[in-house]
Amino acid sequence: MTATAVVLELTPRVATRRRIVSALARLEALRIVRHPAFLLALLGTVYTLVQERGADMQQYWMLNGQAFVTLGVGTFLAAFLNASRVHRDRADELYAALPTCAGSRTGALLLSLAAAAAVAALMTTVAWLLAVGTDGRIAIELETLAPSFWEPAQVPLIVAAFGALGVAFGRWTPQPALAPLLTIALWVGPLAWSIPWVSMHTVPYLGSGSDWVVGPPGWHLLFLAGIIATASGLALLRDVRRAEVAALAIGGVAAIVVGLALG
Amino acid sequence: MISTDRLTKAYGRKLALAGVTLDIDRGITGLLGPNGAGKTTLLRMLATVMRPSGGELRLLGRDPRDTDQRTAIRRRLGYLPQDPGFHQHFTAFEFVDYIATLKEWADRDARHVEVRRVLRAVSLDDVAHRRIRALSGGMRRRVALAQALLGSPELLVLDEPTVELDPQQRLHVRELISEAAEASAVVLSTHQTEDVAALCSRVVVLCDGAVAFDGPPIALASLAQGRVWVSDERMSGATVAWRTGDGLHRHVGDAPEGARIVAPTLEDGYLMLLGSAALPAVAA
Repeated sequence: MTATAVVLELTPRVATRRRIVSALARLEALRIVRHPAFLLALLGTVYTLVQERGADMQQYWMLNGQAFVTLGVGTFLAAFLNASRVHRDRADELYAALPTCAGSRTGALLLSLAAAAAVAALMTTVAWLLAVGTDGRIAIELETLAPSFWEPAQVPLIVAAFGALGVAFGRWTPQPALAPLLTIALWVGPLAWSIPWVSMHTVPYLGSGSDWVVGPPGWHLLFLAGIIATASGLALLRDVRRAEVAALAIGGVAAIVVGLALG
Repeated sequence: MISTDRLTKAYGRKLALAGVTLDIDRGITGLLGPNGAGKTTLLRMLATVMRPSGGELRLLGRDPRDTDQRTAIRRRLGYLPQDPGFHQHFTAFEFVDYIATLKEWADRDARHVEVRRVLRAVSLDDVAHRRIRALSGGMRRRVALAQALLGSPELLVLDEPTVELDPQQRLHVRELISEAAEASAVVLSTHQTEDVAALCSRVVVLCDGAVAFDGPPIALASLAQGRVWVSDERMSGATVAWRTGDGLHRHVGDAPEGARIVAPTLEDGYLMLLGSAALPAVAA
């Protein structure tokens, strides 16, 4: 081995896969939260929340995820475009000569969704403090209710679930023409409305007998985690054919089924 | 550093590479040949992005068929494809930084130092934060070259590195490539015979997927020794003839008796070697 080769072997370039995926995820996280689709959706969500301030019941629904469908769809679009970037830009040949495999890139894209979820969590916290206040109670129509903490906790998972679906679609169907079609389908389709199902367990008169799907937020959290796991598993299976990745996708489907059945 | 033994590549019934055997060490090796000769196919194999259909290939002492060895090769490889496929909305810095991360520079500070170094090397430090879609073709080509230079790779595979560059930029890129070749094996493909003449210690001419010539550029030029002549009028019998800027006609082929013989260039040798097969490449 030549002296140059030895130096190259010892440089910090050959880092562990986990460090590389983390570094990539940080870059992708910046890209997703600065993506025009995400920023527009963020504005739309803020607008919806501000518009509904003071309209107690409506405001409460917003807190439980409906307002965040817009942010979710924006995250979906940004994640789809980021995940299909290499194919869309015809950079496959360049990337194929690099030591980091496509599976690591997909892993980084999925991890980067934590940034979008963090933005959603921050927004929900602010909205929650404004609507519910520090006493943890909210006046809705003629009642004062104490909502569960788990209800707003769904919001970051809703955004992450949309994002994970975006990565999965981006890896398997990286056609740019599909982006607007999938986005519209998500927005108006049943998927969008089943993801943030109206989980107002604290509002008894919207319980059984109402038209709304009402369930304990814990089951909805499981449902959302199932969507994230299934979409992540499917996205990774595009490049990583390993049993544990398949198990992740199958476990996700099981979580969806259990969440739907018991929620 | 590179060893190929009867390397073949077939696309269906068409043989793009028909048994190429080469040993390439440190220094610059230029690949010449008409369009469709197999240059890009060979470079893709050297860059580990394409598997051979047959024959043996070893890069940096490793076998690219093995996954771990292939990754080890890629850690020491810089590749500039013919069409790199830029992310147009990235800035030049962001693009090279992203590729550096994929080249396993996980440490942000060290990575940024390296990214700035390669962008400075290709004279793009002043436009580093401009989006790629706003850069000229020549600047984009230099961004692509910058990513290939990351980490001073031991093996540098460059597909037409000087295309779209103006003369000043070409000279600068030649300088960069010759510096890189002091510690690396550089294989470049080009249609520019003057690049090969100026840079390469060795030239390989491919035609129909096979090696038609392998040797120093001067040896290729000497194939046309005594077969290049000039005259006031265009004469028949030459393989190729054209009117030069000084008004004389330059001919390459079997010179008639009494012809005004001139010293051949690399291009003349190339034309002599390939005859009519070279003409489309010259036109390109």
